[in-house]
Amino acid sequence: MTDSGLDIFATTTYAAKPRPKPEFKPWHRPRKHFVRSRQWGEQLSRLITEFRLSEVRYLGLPGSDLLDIRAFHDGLPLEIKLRYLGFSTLKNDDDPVALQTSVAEVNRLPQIHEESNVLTDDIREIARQDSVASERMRKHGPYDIVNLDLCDSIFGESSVVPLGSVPLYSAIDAMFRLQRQRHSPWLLLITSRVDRGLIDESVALKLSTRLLENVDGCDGFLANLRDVVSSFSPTDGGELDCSDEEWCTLFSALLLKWLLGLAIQCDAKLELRSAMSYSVKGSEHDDLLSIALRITPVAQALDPAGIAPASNPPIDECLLANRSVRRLAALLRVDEVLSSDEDLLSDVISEAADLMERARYDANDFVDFAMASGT
Amino acid sequence: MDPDATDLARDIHATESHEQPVATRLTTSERVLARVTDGIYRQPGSALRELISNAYDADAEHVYVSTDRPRFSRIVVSDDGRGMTPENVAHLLRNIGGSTKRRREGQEQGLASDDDPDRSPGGRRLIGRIGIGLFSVSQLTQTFQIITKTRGDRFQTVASIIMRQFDDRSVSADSDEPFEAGLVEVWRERASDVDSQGTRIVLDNIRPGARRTLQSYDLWVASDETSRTGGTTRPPTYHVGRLVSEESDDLDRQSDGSYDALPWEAHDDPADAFTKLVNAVWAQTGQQATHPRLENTLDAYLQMAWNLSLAIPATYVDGDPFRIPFGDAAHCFQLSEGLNAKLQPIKLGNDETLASRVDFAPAASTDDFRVRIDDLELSRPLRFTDLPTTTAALKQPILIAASDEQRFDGVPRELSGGTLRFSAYLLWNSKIVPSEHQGVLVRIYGASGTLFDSSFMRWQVAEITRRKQISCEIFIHEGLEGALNIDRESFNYAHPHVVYLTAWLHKALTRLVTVQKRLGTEARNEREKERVTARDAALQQKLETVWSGRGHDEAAAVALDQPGGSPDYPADILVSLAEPASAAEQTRLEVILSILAAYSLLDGLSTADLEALTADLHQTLATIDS
Repeated sequence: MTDSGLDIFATTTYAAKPRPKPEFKPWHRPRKHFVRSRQWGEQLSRLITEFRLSEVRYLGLPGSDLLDIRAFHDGLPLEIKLRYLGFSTLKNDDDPVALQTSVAEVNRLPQIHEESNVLTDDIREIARQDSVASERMRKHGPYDIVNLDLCDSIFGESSVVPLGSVPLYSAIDAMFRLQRQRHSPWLLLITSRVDRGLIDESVALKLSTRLLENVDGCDGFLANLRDVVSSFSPTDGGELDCSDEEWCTLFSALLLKWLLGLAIQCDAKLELRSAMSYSVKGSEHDDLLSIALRITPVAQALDPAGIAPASNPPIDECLLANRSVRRLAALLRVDEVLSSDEDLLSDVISEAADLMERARYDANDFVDFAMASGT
Repeated sequence: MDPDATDLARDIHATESHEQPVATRLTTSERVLARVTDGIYRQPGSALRELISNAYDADAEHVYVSTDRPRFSRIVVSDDGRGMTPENVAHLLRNIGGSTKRRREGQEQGLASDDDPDRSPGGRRLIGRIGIGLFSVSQLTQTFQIITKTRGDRFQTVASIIMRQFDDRSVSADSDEPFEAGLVEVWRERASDVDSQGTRIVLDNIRPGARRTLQSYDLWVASDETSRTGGTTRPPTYHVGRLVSEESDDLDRQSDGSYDALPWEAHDDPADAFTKLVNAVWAQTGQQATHPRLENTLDAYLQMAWNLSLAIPATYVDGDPFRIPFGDAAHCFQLSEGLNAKLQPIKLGNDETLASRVDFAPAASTDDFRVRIDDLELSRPLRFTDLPTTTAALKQPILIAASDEQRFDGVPRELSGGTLRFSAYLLWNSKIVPSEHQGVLVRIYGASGTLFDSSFMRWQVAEITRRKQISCEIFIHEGLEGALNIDRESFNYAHPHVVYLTAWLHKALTRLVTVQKRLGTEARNEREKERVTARDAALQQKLETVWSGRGHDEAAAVALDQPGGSPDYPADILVSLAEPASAAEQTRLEVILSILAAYSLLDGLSTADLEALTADLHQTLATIDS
């Protein structure tokens, strides 16, 4: 702000901003790349092939190196273009010029659509229908793939922001509302911390309630849940408990239930395609979850009287809930997989090094970093 | 390249192997020139025009300007042209007031072709002045970044710049020190795709004043104000919307639920979207406004896009006037060379065009340079067929194709500025839409910073009505560039090329007016007076006298449009009056309006203002009568 009280200046420091040294971050570790290629890349390829997409519209939260977008681009079949819209809020030590340099570079790639862009708005802005962010999201959507790669917990207190601002869930709600326009399936990727301590209390209660509805009202659900979370025990107070070891799986079930509810509200089926986890804090139990969901619109009859015939049977929530929970048995613990297979780890590191080099990092330095971090 | 720039280039290269950028200052030894980049451009669009010109000179095929409208927090101009080497960048940073393109240095720098220092390596006639042009962005922001790469380079070059505000006291009077014009950091970054090329210029921290201009702030304030006080200022017919308030990131939702008012759909292809915009402006002629003006129809952003489409090398939205087979739809003429030129009629056969009949047609603009601003792909919004007509007898437009060359024989080049060579067309039509296209637009190698000059280079002739019916373009093939002032938006009127061009233009216009008068008279004589009016013949005669006294050939037909009764004859000026008026009151109002129109007093009025004027007259006159 200026002394004059008039709004004259947009730049108020006459000095170069110190440029942060490019450092390797925890999300550059090999296991993240494993998720990126074996989960995200794999699921996108299947979507493209099965539904013969000619263009991929992507909504995500890229970092300033646009690593994920580069990886998706590299996996594209020829003649298919990637059109991306990214929301990238710069944190204190982030370098806005690095982001612009990445965008400049990525947008020169042959299979990137020229309208691709990154906004520095917070994705939570999309929850307000009139925001610029919301309008841009609607304009460039709906999307074939939505990638919510969160640093924190999707249900965490950082998602519940001060009064007057908007929580992350409202943004996800808004996103589903836009995606409702789709007629063909799309991919939802969510990465979230699962730590019990990070979940906001009021949210935890609501999630538990939803899960317990299935436990009570859906045949086979409890059995399926106990298959993957053997220590599952609902308390009388409606809270949920299980062992630390299995908490990640239970969290996944809670998350799936919530999203399934959203999907059905939007006349769509939701299906868990892949679940992976690893440990960020280095503890013995995994605290980070990455899931890939395929969401398929199924047109539903609007007529509550049932006079207008339905083209599809109503979506069976119980069936889908059961299926998704059963699939949690295949939850892949990435640290374990990589540390027990040297060849695999070495392949992943080498692929990641290629990608990192294209993102302007030094490949040799990266390999050193990767080897030192284990997985 | 001067030693200072050479050193800087070497330092830039050195950043490839270590992480620290080169921190340096923008300098120029020319204090005057440093000053000159500050604030000489009248519109934010001027800076964008300069950046687009630079992209053209870099042989770009695509330019994408992304403005974040209607928020305008960041503007990005991205092109797929040749990009800049570290040497180019170093030279740029050390010579912000100069232009390398037109001298041997330009060739040394690889910015001009080896064979011709006035052409790009790809053969385009150079239109920009990269030294000054790039720093024209100071109009919009004090901080910007350049991210650029040439083909085959394993690195890209990034420069982050803060421009300094010029301040007289910071320069000592007898100082030889170069003037510091800003701070720069430059460095090299590894590039993944060695073969790619292009430049991306990011303008962030847009100055609040520039944002307000782009957001049509004044227009909206006026419109909000009058809707509170019951006035008639409305938002422009077409606009891109606005934010709820300056501090907000929310768009203002209108009563119909939309944020904007645009004549194209969200999913329209950008070229189609622009065509729809142009058609929407032309369609205003069907409305009551006497002479539709862009500024009433479009907001500041859309006007900027329109003006940019006139300024840059581009194709015509509806075809090139020299390459349209007019057939009988226009009266065509050719003007021979020299100041004593003669007009010769050209009768075009089927499928014949002016280009097929004259040897001086300007080269067809190629479509290998596409400029996109957000949703719009620009082309020249000029039309030559299906033009609006009025009740004037002469229905078809007149088109004169002309060319001239002046060598100033006997005068040394050092005094004359060399040869001046150009082609042109002059168009007369009973209505030129929009009004801003009345005048002459001078195009130098396809580009124009001056846009339409409605004074026709100070044509001092009292043809008030006829001037409004003329639109012309002059295509300079050689010369005149030296006569452009530094902003490239105005001419140095003392320059011999301007003096000659002015004289030529005025003579050509006189020829046009003469032939138009003749054809108009012929048309009037031929047609029978079909016009049946309910008015007294004597009254009509009186009006005709008033109109011809003001220099018009014939009176425009004025009619009131009342609820439950539209006039049964075609009218040039049709004004809606909501309150019922008796026949006598109608006649009185129509006569008053007709006389005002004869004096050209209605021309600047918007439809809303015209209706308000009429309603006010009606009510006030009724008070006198009662």
